[in-house]
Amino acid sequence: MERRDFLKLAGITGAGTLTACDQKVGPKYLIPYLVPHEDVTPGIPTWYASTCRECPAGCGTHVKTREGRVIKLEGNPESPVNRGKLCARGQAAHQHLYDPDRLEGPKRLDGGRYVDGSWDDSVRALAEGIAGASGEVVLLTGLQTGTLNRFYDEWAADRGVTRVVYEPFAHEPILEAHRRVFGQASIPAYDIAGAEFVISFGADFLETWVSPVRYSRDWAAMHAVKEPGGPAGVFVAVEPRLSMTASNADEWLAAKPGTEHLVALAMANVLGAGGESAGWSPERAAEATGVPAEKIVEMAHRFGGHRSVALPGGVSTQHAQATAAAMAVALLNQAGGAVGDTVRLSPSTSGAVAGSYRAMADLTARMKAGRISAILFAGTNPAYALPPGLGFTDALKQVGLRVSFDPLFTETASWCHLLLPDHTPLESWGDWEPEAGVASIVQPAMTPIRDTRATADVLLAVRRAAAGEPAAAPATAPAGASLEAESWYDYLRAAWSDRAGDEQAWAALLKAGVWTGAVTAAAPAVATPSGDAAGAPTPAESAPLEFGPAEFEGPEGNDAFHLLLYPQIAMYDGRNANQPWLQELPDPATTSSWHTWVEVNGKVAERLELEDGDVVRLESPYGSVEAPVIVYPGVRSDTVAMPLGRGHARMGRYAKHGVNPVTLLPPVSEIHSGALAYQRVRVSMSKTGAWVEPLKAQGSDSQHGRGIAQAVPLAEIIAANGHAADDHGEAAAHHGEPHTRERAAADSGNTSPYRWGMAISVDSCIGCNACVAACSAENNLPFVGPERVAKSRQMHWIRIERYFEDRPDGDLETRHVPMLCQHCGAAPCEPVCPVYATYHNMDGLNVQVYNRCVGTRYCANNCPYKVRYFNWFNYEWPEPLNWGLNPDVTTREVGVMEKCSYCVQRINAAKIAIKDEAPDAVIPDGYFQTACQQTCPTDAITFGNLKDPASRVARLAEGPLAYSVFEHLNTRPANFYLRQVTGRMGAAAEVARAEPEPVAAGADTAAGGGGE
Amino acid sequence: MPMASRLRRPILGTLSVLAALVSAACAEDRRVDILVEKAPEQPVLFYHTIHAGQDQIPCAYCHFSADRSEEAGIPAVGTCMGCHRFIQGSTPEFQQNIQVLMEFAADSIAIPWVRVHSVPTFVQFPHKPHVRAGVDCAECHGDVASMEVVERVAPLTMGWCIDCHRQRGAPDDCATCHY
Repeated sequence: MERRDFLKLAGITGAGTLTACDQKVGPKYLIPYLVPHEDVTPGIPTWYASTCRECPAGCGTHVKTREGRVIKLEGNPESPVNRGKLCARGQAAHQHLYDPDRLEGPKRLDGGRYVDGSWDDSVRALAEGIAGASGEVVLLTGLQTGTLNRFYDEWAADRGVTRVVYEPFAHEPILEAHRRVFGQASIPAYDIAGAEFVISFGADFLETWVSPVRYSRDWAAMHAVKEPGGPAGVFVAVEPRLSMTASNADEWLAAKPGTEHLVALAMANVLGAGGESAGWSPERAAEATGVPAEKIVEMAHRFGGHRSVALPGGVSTQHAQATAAAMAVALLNQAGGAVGDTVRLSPSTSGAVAGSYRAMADLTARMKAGRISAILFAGTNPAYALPPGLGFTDALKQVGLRVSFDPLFTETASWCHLLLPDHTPLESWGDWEPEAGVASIVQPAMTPIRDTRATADVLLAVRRAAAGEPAAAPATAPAGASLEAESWYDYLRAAWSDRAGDEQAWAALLKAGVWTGAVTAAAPAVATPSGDAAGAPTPAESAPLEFGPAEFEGPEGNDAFHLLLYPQIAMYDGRNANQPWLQELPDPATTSSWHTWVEVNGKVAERLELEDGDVVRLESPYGSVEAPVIVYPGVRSDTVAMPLGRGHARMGRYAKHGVNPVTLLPPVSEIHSGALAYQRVRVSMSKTGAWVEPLKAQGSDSQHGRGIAQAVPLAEIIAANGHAADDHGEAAAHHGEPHTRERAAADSGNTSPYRWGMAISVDSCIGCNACVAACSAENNLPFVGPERVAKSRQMHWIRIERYFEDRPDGDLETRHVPMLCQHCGAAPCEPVCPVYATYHNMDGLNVQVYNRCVGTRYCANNCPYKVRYFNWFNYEWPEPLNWGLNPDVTTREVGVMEKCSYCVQRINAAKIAIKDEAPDAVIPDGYFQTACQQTCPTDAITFGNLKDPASRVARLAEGPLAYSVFEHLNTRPANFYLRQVTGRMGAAAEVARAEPEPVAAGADTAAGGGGE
Repeated sequence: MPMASRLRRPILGTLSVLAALVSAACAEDRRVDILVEKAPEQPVLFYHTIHAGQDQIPCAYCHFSADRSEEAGIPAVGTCMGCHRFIQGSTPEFQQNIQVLMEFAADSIAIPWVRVHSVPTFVQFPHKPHVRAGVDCAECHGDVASMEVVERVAPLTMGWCIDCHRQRGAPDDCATCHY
């Protein structure tokens, strides 16, 4: 650090201490810049384009900073991956940066305790450790792509170090299957948006699988009802548990665990694929899977008759037949003509360079044998992720020097001698290649807040130290991306010299954040299956592969259940566990948070007399865990399911909640791909007699006929040619004057050109909770912790209500309804406020004035939508989590009520900004977005001005699908909901058969289409 | 400055006006926010009488973002040095004061100016719309040009805000400032 930088920092620290939290008078000092910054104006946000690194998908981000601090992330619309959207994990990414449990700086283990070290000493110790190693030195990294991946490889080769990659969900079976079938180990690009029929075999592509934001958008495009009243794409999910993804399916086929792929194989058989599928008739598959043969035949015909795509992944590629499962799906795609159309084989998606569990098993064996002298961990936490039976941590004891680069004190770091914390991604330079031909820049949005260093810089310094040079950089670094580079930044910059040579091009790239170019790899975009045609790639030598159900080991009998472990949408592989917004994010399926639960089918719960919160003990031959039950209708009665990612022994204060169910797993890999088989054991389940609060956000799974989430059969829309009657089903229940767009628009002042309102599509909402996280970040929503969640004191201005409908055919139909303040024209909350703290303003907003509120809570009691939240405490923002607070929004204090404000700070900012154009200019449609709308991956939320009949929201509110919740209460809400469209299965089939007369055919379908 | 070099040493975290952020996080008793000293002693004896009075430097020369941001902006030390590299002061007293400034600059330490005007943490006050509406700086800040030590003259109470808003036909909706 230069002297100048040091003094600046010293100055800042002093000022920070003086200004921070003088409880009585607020900030006392105004600290100016030393040198005016030409790109930063105090009070105006500065945005940086970067890349989200909370999972391997590589979504482009726009990072909003105020006064040098990151306060919000939004998707980069230029990125072909996420096109402006982010998931909940992306929205909470700055809680990784501001994690209060981050390591302060380098540390070393000394006499059983960690003591602070200096970077110079640490680099020296590391260099000496590596130089003095008698055995092998291993650099173990998480999945990397792009320049850092290349750097690690080069550095390892240069230093004689073995590089090993470990990523818990590395999709090894999909890679292996495509290597076998198409001669190319890659995850194909699946064109979900372009398909008419999507069938997923376990792939949770709306949650965590490969690139969930992209697939959510694509799914919404596929699934939408095409105007006017045309057909819509159909989505079917085949998996033993109703995941959030499956809950959005038009049909859920609950195949027995370990058999999903047999449905695919039988479908391929019906389509005449022959080969491996020949032995699997629908009847045989039906017997093995529990999915009726006629369903399999129906799905096969549907698959063959439409532009279709089948997705392998998730639970189906995590059992003992994982590779066979991925192959079966690849064969189905081939048989249905999808390969080369909706399934395009392309080289090097991010998953393609991931390592496998087997590599870790080999590594563990080598460590046990004492062959490894030093191991360096970068961006991976195997001590948490691996089954304890593998003995990884025991084997670590045989390694003389253990080094962690993690910014957090993870389980793995707790075994290390040297802790050399890296920056978090929002403080880092780098790049990421989400797919071939796309590279996304990672650039720092703020100065590192801890004494951290880029791992690549440390490795370069180690190399220099080993070469006998002073640890300082050489005076003249040669050009080009080589290990002679002075710094990691220089290496990165040189690696980009061919794509962004001069400073102008580089600056343009940093501004855009994402680079797209031609796919350079030689691999064909379309391949044919091996043995299918001349010239096809020859499959490599492989162990023969048998199809058939996956085996599970462990207890048998009535009280033994298949254990299904799944990556949970907020926690993923556990890396996000110390981010409190994500801990408190309600699970889409169970609405639970902050702990690890066991999902048990209602019938089983009845038989075993289990209720929500009853703590059970699950035992497999390899271990046992205790966790509370949540009764969930979406899990088969021969299966229990548990989310992964929680139950950390280390990492931080928020990560410790819950248990880590990996302890139940055997330390064996799936034989062909080397992946860890997460679905591998049966467990016995016994009551412990204890009970804990299940922490569910939602009390009932049923709407109890209240018409909160309404639906309309597709056939009815088609029959009416896009002009479906506005009253059917539950909607018929209302009395009095119907609530219309005009009526809502009249609920604002005559002088105001605005009546803000929303149109929210129940049909598009997938329940992913990205809006909840976005709202938390934008509006400074606190997390209240598990003890207060237990008392239903969550503070989520927007929440996803998830309802199950009983359908006549016995299928489980799920509806997701984002519920937030309705900004009613006749708001029940307003007249009961004794102090005028809540009122209707001239723009139609239902305003909450915090400084008027005296906390009677009458308003919340009188709100039929239950969208008002009370501050029972001054909620804590442990330093430096408070650094991420949005300065444009008041942080509420104990004793006041709060609720959705329609992002009034954005409305006011827009009102000020529009005056730059003309003093009396009216904010045009789409001029700004609310935080929830901005991030919604499926565009389920549309915000705008109901007074403008041409605005998108007005048109949707006048559309055939619109209704308002609790219309009969005459609250005159500003939120219009758009009905869920049901019966796609029947309607689509009929339309396909009867074209070109879809209207008549659609009408026929209403009876047999499985609609309501 | 090209973007690349800017980003190599990205913006220093806490450098600037942290008022809103920190106060949003910290303030507990909302009433006392406006009870800070009316004319606090400043780390550098800066004479608005010379700069704004005698030399007629426009307010916005130093308070550079008042017409485009919610923050009026406090001049960077570098802005002071733009002139004071050449102006050493005409009297021993001035020279002494300028010397204090030079030391801050030489040590690269930001001057911790003591806040004079602040509104409670539940108030969102943006300068820009007020300046754009033609409100003169002196209407809220008083005749700073004649103050040897800057002093708060306006009460900064809600009634005082609202009076002016009503006189000028500016919005008096609560949500204009409270959110």
